[in-house]
Amino acid sequence: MQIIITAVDFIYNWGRSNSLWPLTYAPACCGIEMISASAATFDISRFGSEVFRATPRQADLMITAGTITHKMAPALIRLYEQMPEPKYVIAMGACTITGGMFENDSYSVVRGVDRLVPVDVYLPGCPPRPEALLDAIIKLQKQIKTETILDRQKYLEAHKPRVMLSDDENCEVVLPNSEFEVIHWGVQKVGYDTEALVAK
Amino acid sequence: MALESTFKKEMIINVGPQHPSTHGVLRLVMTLDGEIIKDTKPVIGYLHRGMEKLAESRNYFQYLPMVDRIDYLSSFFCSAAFCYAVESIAGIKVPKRAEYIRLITMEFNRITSHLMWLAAFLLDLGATTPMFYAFREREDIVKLFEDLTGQRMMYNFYTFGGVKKDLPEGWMTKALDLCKLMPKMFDEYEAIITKNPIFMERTKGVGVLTQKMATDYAITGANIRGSGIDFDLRKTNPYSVYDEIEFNTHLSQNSDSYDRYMVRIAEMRESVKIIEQALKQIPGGTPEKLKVKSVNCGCKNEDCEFCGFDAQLVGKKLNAAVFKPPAGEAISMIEAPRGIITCYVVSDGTNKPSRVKWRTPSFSSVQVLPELIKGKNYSDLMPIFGSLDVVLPEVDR
Amino acid sequence: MSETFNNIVIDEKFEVKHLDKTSDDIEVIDVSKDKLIEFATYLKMHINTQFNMLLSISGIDKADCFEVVYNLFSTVFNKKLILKVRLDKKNPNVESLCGLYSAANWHERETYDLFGINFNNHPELERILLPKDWIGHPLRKDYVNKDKRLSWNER
Repeated sequence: MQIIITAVDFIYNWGRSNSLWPLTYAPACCGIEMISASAATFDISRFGSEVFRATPRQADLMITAGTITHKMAPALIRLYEQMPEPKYVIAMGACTITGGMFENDSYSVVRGVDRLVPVDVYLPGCPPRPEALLDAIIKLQKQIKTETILDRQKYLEAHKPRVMLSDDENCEVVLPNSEFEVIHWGVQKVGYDTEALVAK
Repeated sequence: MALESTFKKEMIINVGPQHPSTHGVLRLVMTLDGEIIKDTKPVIGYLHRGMEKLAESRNYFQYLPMVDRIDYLSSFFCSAAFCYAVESIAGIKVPKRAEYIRLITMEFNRITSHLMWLAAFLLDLGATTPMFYAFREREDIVKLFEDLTGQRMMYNFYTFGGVKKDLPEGWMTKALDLCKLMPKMFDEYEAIITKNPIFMERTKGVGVLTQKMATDYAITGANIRGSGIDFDLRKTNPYSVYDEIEFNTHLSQNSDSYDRYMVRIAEMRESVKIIEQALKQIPGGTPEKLKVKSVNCGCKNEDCEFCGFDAQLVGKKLNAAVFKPPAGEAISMIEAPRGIITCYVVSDGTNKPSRVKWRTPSFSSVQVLPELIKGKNYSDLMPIFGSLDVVLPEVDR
Repeated sequence: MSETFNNIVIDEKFEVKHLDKTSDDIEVIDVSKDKLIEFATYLKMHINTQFNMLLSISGIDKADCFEVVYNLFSTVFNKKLILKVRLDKKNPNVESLCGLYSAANWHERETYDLFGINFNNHPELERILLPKDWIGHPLRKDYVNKDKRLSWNER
């Protein structure tokens, strides 16, 4: 099956990777380096990100550039869910990879945005230089060029989220997903149907 | 009939935390009647990282890098506020050369912060060209900072008693060249913005901040100077070596958004003059001259210009692990680009601060926003909000 | 016994007393919580003091009491002043200054959010910096995060 669609894959991936349009999402300090990357000195539009879309419905890349707190987490998950497939996430800056300098004892910082959304490229730095952001976008483009359209579903299944939004409108924080029990550095699946996943 | 009743209902609209114009993560819950704003409720706290609590489990030196991140666009000012407070508790004197270096870096930082404000303000109004112009200048100044401190944004350069490193060789020449170039660049911005009829229509008469409202809500900085009150901490309570430098403060009488814009542009030009004077007056001169003369002189006199106390970089060498200031408290006030930053430090004799409280100017600016836009058009929101110069991490700390 | 502050004699009915100055020579005045509004009104309206700006309100958690610190500034005379009010830990509450200074509104909400100090007669006293359903007051010295819903965020 894959031999038949290699040409389709090639064109499809070439088109998608060379025109990644990011979402304007800049909560904190890394956002300034993201804006610098889109200004004249470190031009980001030569890599295809011609415009930054203001609405998630028209964007296909979310660069989380800034610390995420418990109050902001539901908004971030909603933004991610509103983006149409295929979508990618770059975690920019130390605060979004593991919590950064606030990881030790801050009471309201989410320790890494990969607890909320699946991340494709991690970009360390505090803040990373604009050239580092361009390097991350090039790495993401290389990754997109190796994808096939058959594997997208498996990729999504491998990144089951550990949190979920609550239905109660008075609850402003994000709740743990009852399917998973987080044990330190690993995730132990409790009550998860592994046979159904393998059969797909 | 059925259609008529819908015209009377008010809409509740959410200008949500993710919005390209909210300068960060601010949420405004607005009640609109057609296009007229009836009421606004700002919701903040989306970037509350607990900076004040983190100070209580770190010692003074470990807290210094975190101080820069309170307002990342004017991080030298936040750092200076904390350093001045701790220095007055511990009784450490700062040498003059270090004060001059602090002043030069703070004024350059004021220019970069105002340039970022200009880019964001005009981008919100729909003009995309000034953003590219402003970032071109900002990159030049940020390159200077990178030569000096190694970082483009959060510098971690001040320490208790002075600064960490001396100016590198050739830095002062580059800085003077940049100061000669910048007024021409400011003329370029003014040529396309100041007399622009669309800009004047959108900002004249909009967002009038009366003097009584300004003192009631504790608005400080360029916002209150745009309303006619001459309140500039650099003149009234001078802290660093500002009393040795001649400069003017700029006021404006109409208190609308256009005036706040004019005050900030004038402040940028004034900062360039301050930097030129400071670069000529710095004790010891360029670092090459200082090295040569202090080796030749070698007199170790207190008053000598090249080897006395005032030519050093740090007042007293401190050991980070055992630095224990005596019990006491101090408040330091600094004139930052957005207003007055105060840092209230309470020390109880151990090596960790007992309480650090930050009062940031954007907190008051967001508080006065509902008063300013009540009854106005929805399209007046951006000129008013942009001219107040709000940066959200300052609000939430 | 009446005290002198800046050559102005403060009437003894306000029950204030001077504390030590701060390390950078700002006067600190200790006010009892019943006389706070009267004294603050006096400071704002009197022709020789005219403290027209309230720069910040902060709380401090000391070993035996809570303290609320008011930072006042006068743009007319260029003077700074600090007022301190002591509250007991079991039931901390104090009058709100929202009638005098509009800036007090959000500062008092923030102090309530982070310390749990109640301000009587405040127009809308609710959490401002933390989510609405957060449990606990973080800046107290004995705060431990016991919220089970946030267990996914452990180190």
